[in-house]
Amino acid sequence: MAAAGRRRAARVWPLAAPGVALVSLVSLPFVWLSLLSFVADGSLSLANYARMVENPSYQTIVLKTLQLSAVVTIVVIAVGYPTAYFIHTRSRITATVLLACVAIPFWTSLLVRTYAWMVILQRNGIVNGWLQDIGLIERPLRLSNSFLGTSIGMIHIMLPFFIFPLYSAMKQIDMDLVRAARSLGASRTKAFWQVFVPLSGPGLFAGSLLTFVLCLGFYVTPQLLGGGNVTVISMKIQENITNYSDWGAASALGVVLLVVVAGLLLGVKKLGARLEAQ
Amino acid sequence: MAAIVTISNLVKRYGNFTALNDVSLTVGAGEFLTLLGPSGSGKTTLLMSLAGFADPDSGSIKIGDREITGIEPNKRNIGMVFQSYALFPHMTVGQNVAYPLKLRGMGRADREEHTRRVLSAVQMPGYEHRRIDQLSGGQRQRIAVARAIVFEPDIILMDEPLSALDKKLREELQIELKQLHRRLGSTIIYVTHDQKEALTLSDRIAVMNHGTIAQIARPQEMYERPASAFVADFIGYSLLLPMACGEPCSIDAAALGPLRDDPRAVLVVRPEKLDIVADQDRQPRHFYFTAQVQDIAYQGDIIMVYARLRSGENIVVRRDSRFATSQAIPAVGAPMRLALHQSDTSLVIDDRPRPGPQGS
Repeated sequence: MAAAGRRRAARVWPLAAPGVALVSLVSLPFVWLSLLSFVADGSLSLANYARMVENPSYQTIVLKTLQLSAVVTIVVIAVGYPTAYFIHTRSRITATVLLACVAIPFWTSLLVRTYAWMVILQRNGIVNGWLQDIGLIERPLRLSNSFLGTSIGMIHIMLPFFIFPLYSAMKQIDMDLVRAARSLGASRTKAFWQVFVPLSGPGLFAGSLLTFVLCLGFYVTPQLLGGGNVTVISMKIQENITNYSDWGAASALGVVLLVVVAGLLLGVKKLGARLEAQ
Repeated sequence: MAAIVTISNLVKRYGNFTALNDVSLTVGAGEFLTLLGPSGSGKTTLLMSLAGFADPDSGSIKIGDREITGIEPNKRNIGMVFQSYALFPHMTVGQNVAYPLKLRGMGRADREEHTRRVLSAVQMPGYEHRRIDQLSGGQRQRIAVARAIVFEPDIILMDEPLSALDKKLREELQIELKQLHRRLGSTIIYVTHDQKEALTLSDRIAVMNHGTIAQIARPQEMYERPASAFVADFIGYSLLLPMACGEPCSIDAAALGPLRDDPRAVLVVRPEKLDIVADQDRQPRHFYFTAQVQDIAYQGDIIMVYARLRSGENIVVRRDSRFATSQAIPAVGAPMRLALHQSDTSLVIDDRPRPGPQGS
């Protein structure tokens, strides 16, 4: 009996390997890195967090990150919702082609797309050249190396993340509901706003949240398109490690970012549950 | 407020497919008219043209004196019950029912009063604050009807509103719909592919096939006097037998109508209209058939007797399972004599496509 049990254990144990790898290679380093934020000058302290409160530059960075994410999310909703709706109302073949058009940039490397935007938006790039040609502006606009350029690049990158979940939510909507609203006396506009939009709510919500949360952690695009004029949390983390080798400060920023995202998700979940209960 | 609906020469094509081929039809004020037909016969297209969700290529639809083709669906004042019920899941029962009233700018107190009244009319009083996902299928159906009638539309359209329910509930709701129609007195145009439902509910039935109306008649006339082989076959079960299969006994030829001399004419024979009689039986105004019993299927309330005529045609006799009638059924393999009263049959032209290699 005991021997059989041991043999079975010998067969079963290897199945734990992925779990062990996950814990030892991901969870433990994560916990260790997080704990580093509570260490300063070789002893336990909250100095890393205190600095964030005391030093106004940190607050500017956190606010800038939230501002950038909010602007990008709002524009993505404003552009993405009509796009998803347009695709939704097309025939199956047209919809497939249009979805592929959304998906192709999605599959292209983020770095490649960011560099492409740098070329397009630079001082003597395509956009500035064209605007000058038609005489709309005299001097080139500061499109790259700015908040505007960073937003444009991030909006382009985030759009598929928003459109796909929203489109699949729209596909779930029974179009008889819109027809029912029409037959009951609703104009096209009213049927859209009072029936279609509320029913697409869950998809709109999921897409917006995904966009906002992903924006909070963006690094490459603000770094390259911001040209040093846009500093977000992830860039400060990188700076703390490569320039100052201050792992504690970097870790504290990471923990703050994590807490913000976790708090946001939790708040949204609570809000969703309350709306559901009504 | 019941209105007359006049449909004239309606045509609707989808590419090469003609969904409605010159359909003309008048529905009387307060009439319950059912559009019945197989899928692809055009009944749903006709309903969608009435509701404004399909745009006919030509023809006209009038409600009363008002031409409605080309008018937006929300301006037609038509109540519609969808097959899926299409109740708004983000609104309560009360909000669903009050929605058309709100769109018409009715005040809150009036809306609540109307909602309360219509909910009791569909036997769902006090359900205002329920959520749609808390309702059973039958309850949803009632709410869908309530929402379609609450704003007193000129006509009410129903697109297979009972098809998602089980048989027992469906039969209950059929009776409820019929009573509701009698109370409201509104014009109802109803689509179904269930011929029994059509017979139960309707004042008149329009059987559709290939985008045209094959026959329009009262239920009893439709069943007893089908105008074509298609209708005879579609409404109820029927056998089409050449007259030569039977031996007529003092048939009143005039009563058989103009088709009596047409060589393509066949008798419509319903299984429940056949009687098993003694060998020497010879009553006037009857057709007689001699057949051999092939099989007997006992189904509880009824017994189906499958037999073959001497001419080789198959025939089915339906008997009830009472002792006296079931005793009269011969054993398998035995001969039997069948009688059919001339008023229980009619003549139609057999225009059904023939199966076989030479068929198109």
